[in-house]
Amino acid sequence: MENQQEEYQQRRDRRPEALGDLRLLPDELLCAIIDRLAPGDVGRLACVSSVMYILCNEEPLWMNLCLRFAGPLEYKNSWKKTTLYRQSLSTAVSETHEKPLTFDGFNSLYLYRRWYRRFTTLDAFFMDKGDLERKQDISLEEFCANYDGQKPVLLTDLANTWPARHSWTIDQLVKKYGETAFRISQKSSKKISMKFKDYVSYMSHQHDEDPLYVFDDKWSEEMEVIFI
Amino acid sequence: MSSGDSGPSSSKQLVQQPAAAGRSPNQPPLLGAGGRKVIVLKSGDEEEFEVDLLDAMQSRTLRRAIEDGCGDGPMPLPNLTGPVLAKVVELFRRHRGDPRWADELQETEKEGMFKDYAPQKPTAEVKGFDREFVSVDRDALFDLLRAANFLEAPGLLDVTCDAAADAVMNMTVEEVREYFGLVNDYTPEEEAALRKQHEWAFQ
Repeated sequence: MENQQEEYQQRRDRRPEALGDLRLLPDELLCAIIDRLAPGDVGRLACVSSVMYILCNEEPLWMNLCLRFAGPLEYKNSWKKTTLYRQSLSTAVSETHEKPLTFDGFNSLYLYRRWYRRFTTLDAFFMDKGDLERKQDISLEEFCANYDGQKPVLLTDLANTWPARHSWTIDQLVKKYGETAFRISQKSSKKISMKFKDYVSYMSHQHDEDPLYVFDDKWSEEMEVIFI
Repeated sequence: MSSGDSGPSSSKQLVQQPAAAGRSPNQPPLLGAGGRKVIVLKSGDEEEFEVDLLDAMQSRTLRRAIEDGCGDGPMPLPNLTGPVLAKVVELFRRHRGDPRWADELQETEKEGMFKDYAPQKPTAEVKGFDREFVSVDRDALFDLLRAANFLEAPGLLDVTCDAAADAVMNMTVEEVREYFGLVNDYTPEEEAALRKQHEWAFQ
């Protein structure tokens, strides 16, 4: 009996029941409304029903919630965890391996499009497919005779000897400036700072449609140090 | 006070001129009294509203239609009722110069159409109007929300979404279910686990 009921639940569209009268509002409106709530409100809404749970666990939502608060930011592999950690709402974030629930019978073009923009790869947009001729060390005469106005050519290995090739790697920069706090861009009127090492960790883990950038307001003052 | 234009009663004074035959889509829409451009919006129940063209531009949907040359005759909006459209038109008029959408308009600046439309911060009067605007029952707020979504009007969306969020804020799980007639489709085990996971939200 229970199995039958479960099967039935999985097959049908769960949106109307799980949203009640809110079913009258399209998903983008529901998201816009939830966006305006406090983390506690969102947490309680997630316990209301399955579709609410889905809407309340969207990473873009938690990114917005997180960036609403000023102060230092340390990314914890997801915006929800980051927010809870920053707001000291969940004490043992790293220990809790909160297993996300999944539900059948709910489809949202709006959520899918947003997800797609976050995870789609840009690899196919790479210009160099390897079919361009590459030349290392080319003389002006050779360039004029064989390429100029005739066909494209890629000049390679020009920067190999530049010191920056070795000193401006992420690893080196983290070693030197890991603890330096930078101002982050984007979406927030609040002053939010990120240590460089935390930003690097964010860079490698994030899947944000509109990712954060760091800015150094005192760049010109520090420039000397970087170049040496 | 509101922005430096013809004042609160302007929409009443505006008179629609008969559309001249053979107007090309690129010609500016109708001119109302005082040289202001006017378009006519028609609700699903056949009510017509004259709207200052620049006010209508607060809606991206209307702006696209106007730019495509659909602003000459009455523009049918079959999914909006007369009462909803009346409220929306009034909000557009009160939100003249509101930076929530005026910044965006500057980008579409053409032929100096918006030159007397300097963005300005909402005044206390506008904020009071906004509060009054959403002091409606739940179903009426839903209608306004859907109108905002269909019209893609940032100011209207802001006001209505804020009101909806205010309504939900601080509600308990049971209150949300009750208020929206939501079915709790969790198993008791799922719900218990979720409440434990979200302990921080119940403190």
